[in-house]
Amino acid sequence: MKRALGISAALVFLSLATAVSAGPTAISACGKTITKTGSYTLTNNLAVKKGGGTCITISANNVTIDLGGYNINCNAVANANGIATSGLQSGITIRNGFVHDCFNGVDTYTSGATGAMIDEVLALNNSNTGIAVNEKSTVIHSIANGNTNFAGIFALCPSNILYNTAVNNLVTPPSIACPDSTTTCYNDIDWFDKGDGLCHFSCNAYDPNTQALIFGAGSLGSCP
Amino acid sequence: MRLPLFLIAALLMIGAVTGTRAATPISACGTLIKTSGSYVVTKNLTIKKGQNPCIAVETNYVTIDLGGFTISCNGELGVDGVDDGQAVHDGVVVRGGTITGCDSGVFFRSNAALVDGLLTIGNRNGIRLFNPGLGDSVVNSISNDSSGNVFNNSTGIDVVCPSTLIDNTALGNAFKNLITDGVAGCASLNNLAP
Repeated sequence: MKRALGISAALVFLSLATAVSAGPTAISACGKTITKTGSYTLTNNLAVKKGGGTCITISANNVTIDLGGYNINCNAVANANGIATSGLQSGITIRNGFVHDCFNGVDTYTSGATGAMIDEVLALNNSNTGIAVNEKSTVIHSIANGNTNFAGIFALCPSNILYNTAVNNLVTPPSIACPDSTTTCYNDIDWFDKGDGLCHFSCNAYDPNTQALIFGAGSLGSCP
Repeated sequence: MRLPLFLIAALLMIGAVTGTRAATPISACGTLIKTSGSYVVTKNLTIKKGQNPCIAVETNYVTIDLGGFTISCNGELGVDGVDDGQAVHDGVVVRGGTITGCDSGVFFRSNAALVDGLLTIGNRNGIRLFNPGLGDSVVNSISNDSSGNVFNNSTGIDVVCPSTLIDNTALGNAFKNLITDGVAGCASLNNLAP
């Protein structure tokens, strides 16, 4: 009788465990390649080790990564991205956390992936670009500061680049592909000081001196 | 004796299968955050005498989710809800709760501060982001005074530009509802802050 009770209890807990496992898949270390559609969440800060590569590679469509408020630190390892796609994936969402000291913080652009949603990602102090996306994407409520060799946010058109803050980045000419008539770059702060005495902007942006909304890319007087 | 062993095994299995770990809990004022990561408030927090601030951010890359709970400073002058001790760190996020009765609800000088879904009610100042020259954001937040509370807000939202201010409400604050300090370059849209 006791044995039967024990087995029953174990079966109940096993089914509970199975039910709980329907939640997001945990990511607890760099070097992860996502090959299955689904929802993923960080469970701690992640760090790229010396000699390592991209922290999280996405190789499947329809993947959501919730950074859970944690951070990915690439430790300035050469060419290590925080999160990058590997091909022409679509339906990628990345949200809620920090990506810093990487080559590119978030890069769905280089591999040709489209339709990415980047929401409340803080991409700081990366050596190339903070957030890089292709067309049909949205970047919203994110901050991309101090990305030293290229753009804070780089987007191909058409995309929605909404309500972000991107300052103290460097864009090497030519500037980003935005804007064209099919892209909304709306109420972003998007200007940078290249050290040439001019304040450059790469997408529709607020004039840092007059607060007027400027359409297009170009430069004006010195940044504040 | 066998049943507890089964139970232990099953519980261990649950942990192994889920593999998830919650953000670090904060259950009392006087918390110093010295390690980057994700933190969540697990109950209403009230300042006790001698504590300041309730939650101190002392490192880079920190997310604080108030979890829908309230931080109360009981009207203690000079006591903040969440602050960085006026040090400049990189990256701090505060979201999802209420701060009341503090000198400043949130007061940061850090680079890349993001405040989202925060209600600061009846503080001396609601949300203050004073990083000089690097961008911050305040979105979807409310910063109002509250009659009957100890303080009347001096300022609802007060930021140094460049910063992005989107979809906020700041009403009934004694001095000003929304201030963008210093140089120009703030982006402001859909704020109810006359």
